[in-house]
Amino acid sequence: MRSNDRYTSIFWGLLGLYLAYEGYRLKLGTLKNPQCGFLIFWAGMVLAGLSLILFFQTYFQRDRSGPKESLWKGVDWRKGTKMMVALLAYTLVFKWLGFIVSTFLLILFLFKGIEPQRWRTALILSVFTITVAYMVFGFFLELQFPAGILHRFFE
Amino acid sequence: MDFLSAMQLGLSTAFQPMNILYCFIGVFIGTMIGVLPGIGPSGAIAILMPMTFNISSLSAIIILAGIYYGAMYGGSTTSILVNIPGEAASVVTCLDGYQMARKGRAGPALGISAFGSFIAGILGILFLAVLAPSLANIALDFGPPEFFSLMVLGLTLVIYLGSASMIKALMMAAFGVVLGCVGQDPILATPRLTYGLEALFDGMDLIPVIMGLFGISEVLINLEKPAQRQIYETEIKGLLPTLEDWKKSVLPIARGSTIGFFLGIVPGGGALLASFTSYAIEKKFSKYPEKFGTGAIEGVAGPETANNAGTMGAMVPLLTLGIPSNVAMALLLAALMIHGTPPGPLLIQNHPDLFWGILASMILGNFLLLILNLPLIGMWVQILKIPYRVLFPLIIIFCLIGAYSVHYTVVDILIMLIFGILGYFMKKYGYDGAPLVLAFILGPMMETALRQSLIVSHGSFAIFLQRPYSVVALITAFIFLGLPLIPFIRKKREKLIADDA
Repeated sequence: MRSNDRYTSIFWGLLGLYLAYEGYRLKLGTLKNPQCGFLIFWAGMVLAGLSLILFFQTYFQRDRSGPKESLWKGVDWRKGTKMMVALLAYTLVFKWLGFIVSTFLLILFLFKGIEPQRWRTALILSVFTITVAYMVFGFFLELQFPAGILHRFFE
Repeated sequence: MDFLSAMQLGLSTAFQPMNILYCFIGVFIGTMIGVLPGIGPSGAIAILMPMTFNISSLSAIIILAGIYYGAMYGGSTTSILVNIPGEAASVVTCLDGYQMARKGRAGPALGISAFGSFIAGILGILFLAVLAPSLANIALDFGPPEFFSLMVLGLTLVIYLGSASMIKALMMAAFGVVLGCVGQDPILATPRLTYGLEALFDGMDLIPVIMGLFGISEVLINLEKPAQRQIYETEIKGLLPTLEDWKKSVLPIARGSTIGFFLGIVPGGGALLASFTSYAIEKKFSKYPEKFGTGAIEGVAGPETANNAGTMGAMVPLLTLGIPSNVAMALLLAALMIHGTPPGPLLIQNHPDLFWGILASMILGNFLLLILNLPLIGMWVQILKIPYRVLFPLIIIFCLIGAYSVHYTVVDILIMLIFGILGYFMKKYGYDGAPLVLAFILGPMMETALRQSLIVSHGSFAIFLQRPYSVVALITAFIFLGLPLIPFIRKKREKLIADDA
């Protein structure tokens, strides 16, 4: 839809100008001796310039995007939001609780808290998943996960 | 080294017991990824790449490449049985494959798809074995100007061939170039766009970026609306195509193999473009084009052959020039660089065991895939029945483990989440992730090549016009950038993209 392109082109345009400014601050140098801001400046300018073209296109070009239904119609945004909040919380507690505990709690939340599932099913799947994940990645592939509150068992 | 000695070296390397196991693991996971909608081969390669850090570079590429071409085999299963492509290159198989299933001919559809893919895979490997060394010899004379121009051409083709809106794709490419600049300047070591964060001094890693853009965002998109997946409940019998099926399919397979391989070499082409082009050609060549879309076996044989041949073709620019032509190849490039064996013109010369070992393992892989996709089809059908509410937590966990294991820091998980949100909004508003990722990978390489060229030429851009290969590459890139300005060509391109959608 044209209005979507209009808003997103403004976003990208402002971002492009900001990046061009950052590139300018890093010094452009000369063509004989381009400095570290050279590519960032020009890429930012290209981004800003193309955003401007897209912005004007929304006024002058025919809209071939088909039926004008809102992108957000019928969208259940709660599940995605819950998932992202859970993932953010996971990064905050990951080192403190350790891989096994934090990942188990996360999987349990994803199985039970996002889509309807019975508690028994969610618990069994969570235990199975964390066991297999730790055996494959932690034990067999020897990836180094933080032990967290279970550190006494791994020392 | 002559061809037979080279293949002998490759076979002796690839057929070591552990490499056979790695090949099996790669193609098995690839088939599963292809069967299950929700994550494509690029996401799977990104997730599994950190797991390959402790093994040799050959073994790592055997697994990761196996995922890539294995997904092409697996993608046809869901296209035929569920009318949902397991991965993008199998979209066109839905048109006739699902109709064949509805007519009780799921078996021959799956069979011709597997056999066609197998033949294309073997032919593609032979083309690769012949073409790659010759191209590598030519590329030995390339300098920074040639590499810069080729990368510009590669990026342009990805934008032109793969994206509905060229302006949006160019914007994403520009943004990708900037993201690739985050970290220390490659020549002066000055920190750029790091905002004082130590974690960004070495730049952002490709794996969390891809997992976010293609893994997390895909889950967010799928959680928006309830998934409707209906497996066509038909008994799958008679996986061997009949003589009549073979008669109809032999020319589509031959054409698909050739078209697919050469389109696979083109950046932005690959398996997706190969399968669509093959379908269009088969429909044009057919005596009964009106049967396409109603269950014509040629509509399955051609595209499925082409998409697998395309995966082999995509290896050519990666292994001989070090230039990836799509996201999956960008990941293989990253894997090879991490293992200290950067691809390029010197790869075949310096690491012949690696190059010929990869080719030989792909021959083995194609044999394994034939076994996995025919006798074991029942197993894949059961996997298809796993509900998405069970699948998506597993995808998330794999993404988290993959992102964390790159540098063992939660910063990479945060980067993945940020790109997940960005990828979600990009998908909603019609911005393609592939140009961003390719520019992210090629950007630093292009910058180094550009700055080296300008330093050598004392600031003169004429250096790019003084080298024949560079001139041809740049002129071709400008032609493709300018083509959409011609109204007739723009309408044709928009119609093609609309048909594809």
